[in-house]
Amino acid sequence: MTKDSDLYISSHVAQISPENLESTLKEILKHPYADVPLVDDKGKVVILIDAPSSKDALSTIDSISKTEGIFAFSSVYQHQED
Amino acid sequence: MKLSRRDYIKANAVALAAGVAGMTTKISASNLVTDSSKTELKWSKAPCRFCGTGCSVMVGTKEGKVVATHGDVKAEVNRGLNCVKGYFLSKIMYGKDRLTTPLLRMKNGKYHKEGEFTPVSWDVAMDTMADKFKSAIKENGPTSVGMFGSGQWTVWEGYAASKLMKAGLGTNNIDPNARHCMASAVGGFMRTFGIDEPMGCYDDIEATDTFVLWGSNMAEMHPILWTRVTDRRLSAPNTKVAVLSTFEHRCFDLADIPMIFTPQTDLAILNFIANYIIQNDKVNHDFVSKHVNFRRGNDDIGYGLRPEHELEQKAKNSDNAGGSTEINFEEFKAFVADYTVEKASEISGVPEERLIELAELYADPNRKVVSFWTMGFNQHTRGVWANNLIYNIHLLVGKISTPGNSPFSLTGQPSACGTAREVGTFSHRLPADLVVANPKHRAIAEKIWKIPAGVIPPKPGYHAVLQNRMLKDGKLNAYWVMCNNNMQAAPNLNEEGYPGYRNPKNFIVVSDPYPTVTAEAADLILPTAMWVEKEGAYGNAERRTQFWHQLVDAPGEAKSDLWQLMEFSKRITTDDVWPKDVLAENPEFKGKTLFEVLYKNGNVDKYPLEEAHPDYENVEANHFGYYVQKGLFEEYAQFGRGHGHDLAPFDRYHLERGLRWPVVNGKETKWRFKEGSDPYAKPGSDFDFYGKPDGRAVIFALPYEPAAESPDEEYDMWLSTGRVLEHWHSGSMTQRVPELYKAFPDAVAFMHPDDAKARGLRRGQEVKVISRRGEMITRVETRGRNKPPVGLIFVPWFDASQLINKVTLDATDPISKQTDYKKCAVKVIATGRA
Repeated sequence: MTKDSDLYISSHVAQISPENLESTLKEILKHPYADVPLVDDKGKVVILIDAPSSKDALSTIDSISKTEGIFAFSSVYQHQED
Repeated sequence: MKLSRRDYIKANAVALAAGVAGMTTKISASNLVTDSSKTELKWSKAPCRFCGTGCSVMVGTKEGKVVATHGDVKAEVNRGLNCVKGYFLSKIMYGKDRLTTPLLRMKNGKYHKEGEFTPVSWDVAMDTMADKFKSAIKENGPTSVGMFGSGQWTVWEGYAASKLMKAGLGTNNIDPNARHCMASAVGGFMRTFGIDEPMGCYDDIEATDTFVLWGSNMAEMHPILWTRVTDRRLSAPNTKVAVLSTFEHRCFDLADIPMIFTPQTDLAILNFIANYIIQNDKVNHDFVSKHVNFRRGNDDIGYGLRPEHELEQKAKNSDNAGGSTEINFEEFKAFVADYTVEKASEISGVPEERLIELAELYADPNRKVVSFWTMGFNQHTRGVWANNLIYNIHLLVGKISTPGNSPFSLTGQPSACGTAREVGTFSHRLPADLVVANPKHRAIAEKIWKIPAGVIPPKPGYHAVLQNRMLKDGKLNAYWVMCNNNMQAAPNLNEEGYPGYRNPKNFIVVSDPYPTVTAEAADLILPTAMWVEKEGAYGNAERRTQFWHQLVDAPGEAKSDLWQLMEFSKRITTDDVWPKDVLAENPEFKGKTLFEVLYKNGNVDKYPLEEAHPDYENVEANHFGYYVQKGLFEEYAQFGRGHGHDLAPFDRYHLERGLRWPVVNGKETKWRFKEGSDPYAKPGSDFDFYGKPDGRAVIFALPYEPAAESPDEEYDMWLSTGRVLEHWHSGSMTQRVPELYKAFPDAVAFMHPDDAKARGLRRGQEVKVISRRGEMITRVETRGRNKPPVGLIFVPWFDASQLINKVTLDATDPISKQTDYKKCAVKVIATGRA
């Protein structure tokens, strides 16, 4: 059971092809636990994931990292309390 | 606006990612990062636990547990980034099967070789162990005890272990698992330069315009460095990347010059490049005439197999593999003249134009070149030669020791350099490149260690592969394996690994955080504290020494390797183990415990407990009553200070993101051997290879010779083993992180689709990989990240349920004693099951 105090928060940096920026961002934002708090005009974005479980966090990361239009995907912050 | 704790943590996560990406956050999130009162986390730095890159990570702890990590933005090595393994670092300590109490095989309440593992107290464990070590020495002398250690030991653990064996128990039978990964690199450095470890540093990546990867798959094995290489390739338009390997892997995506060559033929390609440089008048004659000597090495040196093996019987120089004679440039020129492009192409299978393109990268005076290599060169029955031959090329054109010109041997373990090599935990070495065979070197060690002359034995001990052979032969009887998983890692497990551990004459101790394949083959298992459960220091591939504090407590009764080594030493006296004549001449040492002699000698116990950081726990310092890590480090540093291996004072490292030695007058050294950047290079020398008495590096004439075992009619494929991105080494840590396990759960045999078809195999089918020594079961993979050519399979070794080392051959480089895990002959057949 997931408790309210449980935490599965992570942040990632992705490089998106500038031509496909908008469509790729839309794809990323289809993921229910993902947010894109920062975007720059060269296609660099920060992705924040706040998921209710480790499994949801992992599948979100996995799915986003494989999104078409993403050149490079690196993880920066990982935090789990359960 | 009121922010919850969750909001603070999220703002923190965004600010860090923004920092790494070089973006600015619009909100004031960056101010929150250090505000631990809001996130309830305590943040501290530590180097990553895994590979030799030496990334720094920030570790967040809460209520005695590591709950968060992120790449350290202040670290020069990784600049805030993590690879996928580093990203999940916080979880490696929390596997469900963590060992928390010593376990001894027992029957009817007593130790029994065939007994069941039974929980015992530390006292029972250590007393049993001490008994076994003492009786082995009493019955069969000090060569009957030994230890297998690690390039993952902290600096002071490796140092304490080396002292315990060489200065305490009087045996040189201590070797690190770095023997399996770095010994050929060490041999190459010592032979060519007379001093170990790379002359350059990671700053070379941003300073060069050419990268040549010799067998290295950096995209998976050193991903953060690969990110830096990729950035350089994409941001500097003239940059070229050449990738050489025996199979196609992820680095080929970026390669301008991709090249698949037949295993072992790198030797021919290397000699061709030297020949090309000479034939096309691209030799830097000024550099060569001032800074280089030429020698011809002994050839036909055998394959490091058991002496009765046919290949050893036939070899002309197996008893003097490292021997060489002086030659001159003209003789070297004549030697490599044989290696024409036609011949190199024929041997290697690489098209001639590709070979010329590659040679031109080195020959072109307007290009800088960084050559990277790791296990492709080192795990090679001619590994030292391969290292020597790459230096030949860099030396012929003078592309060395300056920014962007760098022959660069990468390392696989976090402290293969810092602990295994610099501390000298090999069976033939002492700290700071000293060796046991040299009486002057032994005298230096005995003086610093404050022990009488004659305690350190002059004969090199058993190296890694020889240890397994001696266990099997019943000549090594009390054996301690610490901080590694050698049953899974060592070659020829069936014939040479397992029989020795289970030999009834032997008592085997394994210290590990988890019940590994090795632990399960032992007689006594000691539960071990890991990573930030203790204060530590690692040294990475660019000579960077990094420290960390203890951040959390180990679970249950688990204790660090350092604690275990020192506690064990209390149970043995000099009377038990030192030579009688030494004690007769030095009666003041009679009846002392090894603890008193080695770790309470006025050096190690010099720094009081109060000097340890008040905000961090330090189990070992509190237990022994003094700042033991500082005492060990400062004693050890005496070996190198003033001799080209200078380390900074202990306390400074806790404040820095590491420093690259030699650290002289408070300054680190980025490029060695170059006047102006290396304080040891003599004024007026321009370049000074001061590891050699005359300041000259050596170019070696060495031929191409075939592998120990090649495919034939019956065993018709090459087998290469190695790693994958998600798992580190034997997987004992990464397989216990659910995310990493899920990402790559089981080993597979990567195979060319035509090879699968020819054998009637389809993707995913269960197969047996069979060699002359054993067999293992895996599944066929014909797609994915690795694409072998026809005739070769690649099987990673991380999977404890699929032991590929049942199949591998224990052939070693006769000079470095390092195993060749990249070449043996196998056949692959269907098991008949799906």
